[in-house]
Amino acid sequence: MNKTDEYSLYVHIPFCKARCGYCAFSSCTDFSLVKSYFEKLFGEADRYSDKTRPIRTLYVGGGTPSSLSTRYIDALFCKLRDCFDMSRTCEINFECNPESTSDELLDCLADNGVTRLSFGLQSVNDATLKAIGRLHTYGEFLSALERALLRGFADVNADLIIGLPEEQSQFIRSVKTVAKLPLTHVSMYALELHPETPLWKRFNGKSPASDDEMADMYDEALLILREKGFIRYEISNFAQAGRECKHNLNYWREGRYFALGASASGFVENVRFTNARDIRDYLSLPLERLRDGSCEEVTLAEQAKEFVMLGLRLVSGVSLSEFAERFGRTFCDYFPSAKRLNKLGLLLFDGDNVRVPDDKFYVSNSIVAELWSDVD
Amino acid sequence: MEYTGQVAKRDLEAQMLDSMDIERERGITIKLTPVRMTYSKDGVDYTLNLIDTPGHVDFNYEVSRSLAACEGALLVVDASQGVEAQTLANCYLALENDLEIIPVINKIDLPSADVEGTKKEIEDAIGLDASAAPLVSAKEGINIKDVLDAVVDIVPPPSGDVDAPLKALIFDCQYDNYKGVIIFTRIVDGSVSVGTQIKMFQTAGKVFDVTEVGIFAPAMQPVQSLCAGDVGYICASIKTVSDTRVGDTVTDAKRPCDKPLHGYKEVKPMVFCGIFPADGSKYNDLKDALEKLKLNDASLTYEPDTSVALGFGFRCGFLGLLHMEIIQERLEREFDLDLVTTAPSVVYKVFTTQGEVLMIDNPTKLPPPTLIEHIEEPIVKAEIFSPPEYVGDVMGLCQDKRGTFIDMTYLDKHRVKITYDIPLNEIIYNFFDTLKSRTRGYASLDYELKGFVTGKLVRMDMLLNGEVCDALSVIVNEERAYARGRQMAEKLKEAIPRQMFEIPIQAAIGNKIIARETVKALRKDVLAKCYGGDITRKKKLLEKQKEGKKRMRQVGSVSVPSEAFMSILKIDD
Repeated sequence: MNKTDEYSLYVHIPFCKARCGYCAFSSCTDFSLVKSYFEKLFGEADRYSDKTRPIRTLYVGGGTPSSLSTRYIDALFCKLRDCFDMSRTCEINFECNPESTSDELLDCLADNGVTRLSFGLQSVNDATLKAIGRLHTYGEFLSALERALLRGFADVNADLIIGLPEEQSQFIRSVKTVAKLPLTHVSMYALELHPETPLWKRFNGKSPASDDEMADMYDEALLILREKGFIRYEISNFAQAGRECKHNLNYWREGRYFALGASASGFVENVRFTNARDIRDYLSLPLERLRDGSCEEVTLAEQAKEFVMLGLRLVSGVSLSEFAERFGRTFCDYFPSAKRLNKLGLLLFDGDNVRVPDDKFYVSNSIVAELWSDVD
Repeated sequence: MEYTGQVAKRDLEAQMLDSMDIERERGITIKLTPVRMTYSKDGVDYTLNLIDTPGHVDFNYEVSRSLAACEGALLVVDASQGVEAQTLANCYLALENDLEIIPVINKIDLPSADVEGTKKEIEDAIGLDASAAPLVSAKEGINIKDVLDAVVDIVPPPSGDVDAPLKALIFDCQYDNYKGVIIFTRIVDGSVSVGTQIKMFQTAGKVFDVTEVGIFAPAMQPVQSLCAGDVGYICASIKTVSDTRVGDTVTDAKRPCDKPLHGYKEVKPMVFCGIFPADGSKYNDLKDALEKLKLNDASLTYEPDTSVALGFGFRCGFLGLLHMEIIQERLEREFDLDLVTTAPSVVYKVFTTQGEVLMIDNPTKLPPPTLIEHIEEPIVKAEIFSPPEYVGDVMGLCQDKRGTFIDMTYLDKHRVKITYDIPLNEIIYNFFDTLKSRTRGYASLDYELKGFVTGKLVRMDMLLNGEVCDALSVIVNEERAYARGRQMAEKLKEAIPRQMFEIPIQAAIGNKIIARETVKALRKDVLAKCYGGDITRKKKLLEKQKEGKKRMRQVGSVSVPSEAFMSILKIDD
């Protein structure tokens, strides 16, 4: 998966039945735009159609992809199979919200070869869910999960958010509850307040929990999840053995990916780009101008920096041999500070890998910034 | 100026002669400003030259230079405040210069004005006859004529000889990018006009052709010539700042006068601090700025200094704390520099076991304790004028600051003069601000150096993660060290951001740790996700973090922001 000639594909579905209090993603509650959105999306698929580079993983994210009618979902997979080589795709992810996970949807997804479902659970506390504008209850999530498992979906993830406006103990209750469920994967990240979201206004832009409080919760969650076999493999991701998300691993190994849809980001050959973020811009701009102003050619030197920035998010770290192969120099030659950081106990050399020690993930940004300061 | 028609009413503004932004913002005068007016009395036209001077003790030097260029002085006393400590100090300066002093009582329009009381204070405290003092309100324009009449009647006309060789006193200088050095001068004898070849006594040999002469109206206004008795300016394409020195005498290169004027006694700076560019590459800009500022402010001294933490900079000497603050602010504003300054220090007399006497104004230069026989610190005689109800507060403060009581006199029932001997290093450490706040702004302070006395003085170092940060070292009284160390450690804890590891902040005397705080390690980076769409943003954040670190000073393994060095200057008692 680490080679730059293997591709993933990301497809963005911006539609949601309601906007959550914290959400700053490109999302849209006007379902009358679905038809024209798909026309544009398919136009994009045609334009960037590529049968020469097989797609290893696919991720359909949002927004709320599960809020679409199955007619559109069928059409989407059909189109993607037409435009890309999906013959060797080993993982197909689909994001679901519990309230819209109907039996009909599950059937449709299974028929289209979806292998992994990701639920936006966020919390098991109904009061918290209501307060942040989620439409589901914990009960509805349980029902959706039960039906998904019955349908044969082997890989199921649940997202949790740290630092929601609730007591710390309530968050811990969420973690304990989720850890006992037959899930294969849990993602957990902090509430980020973005300007112009209702929660930002409610908290005046200041997160309801301090960094230290969040760190305490994170530490406790780590132990609870580990006890139930969920092993941290990336800063905010936990999986049962062998059930890591391959699509996301591709991001952290600085892999390449196509992207379709409003606000979707891609990395094709050596160019990073992001499509028009606003759905109305996405609909009105001609296809050739969707990425205007966002294209950035990533030089080999920048790739080396990215490779380290992303790779050190993984518990396993960065492969030294892969680094040397891709960038023509050894890691320590490229980043002379590495030795000093190693002495300070901030970097660990472990066989072929260099990694951030488990207890230093709290300062991983600083470690990366230190390494970067050697370059340019 | 309005009364004499020098400035039209529509052009008037508050603090007309205080042209610096800092002066207007703080409502004080820092720089002397000359102005010429014409006034008719009894059918005769008189030319009057006025120099507006600061009052604060730190700018004493500005006052004394102005006085040397004058025949008389107007001692303006606020009728609502009465005589202040600085009134007295400035009045003595005028007397030393043999000037005619005309007391003027101002602000008589205020409801709180006490004209009779103020007159009595002037007579009792200063010994001047105030019975005929003009009673004015400068704001309302009341009785201004009395002042001008008094100037004409009392102040003697200049006694210089127009035909004698040129002899002119440089009382101030300015640097102009086009004209070069602009000399502010009082012509004592002779005359000068465009084309005159001039030279200065202290930089003998160099001859300059005068390109412009003029008067202050109050803006610079070229005239044909300046002659004995005039106050004005001379430009002569002087490009090298060091060619002109305030206090020097200008004379005609072809027909020089035989000896220079008295000039000024050299001023001794009392307060020192290190000034470093926040951006190390701006060292030469700072050097250039100091050179130019020195021209305009002769009381400033500086010499190159190096700090492990702050790199290359200067050790600067000032007349007092306000002077130091003003210079820092002028450097930042007028020369667009970002500065880091170290804690102010006084100069100590260090007697070594070898029998040497060292004058030390920089804590890092203090020899190790084993080589020190004893240290003497400067003591000032501080005179504080205060309303009687605050006597207890003032004395309490002076005691806290290791003061020795000398005297207390009632000037009248509203004003007490309290005299203390206080170590100067206590004065420069928040004394004035605390005095003002404890007396609700009513007390005033004047001080003069009295001498040196032996003190229990030690160097206190601050350690960051076990390493001494030289820019944070201070010399303190041993008994004070504990409290000061604790305060400094607390301030640093607030100012130093959390980093990759825990940072102990310690205050130490020699090997003995006397205070400790800890900056906990960061616990942050596990909280943000990073998927395909987040990578570009994440990269930008990390680049910013990297740049942010570059802007910080490295003390061993610890990154210290410039603000941290400044934060220890603002410690409240």
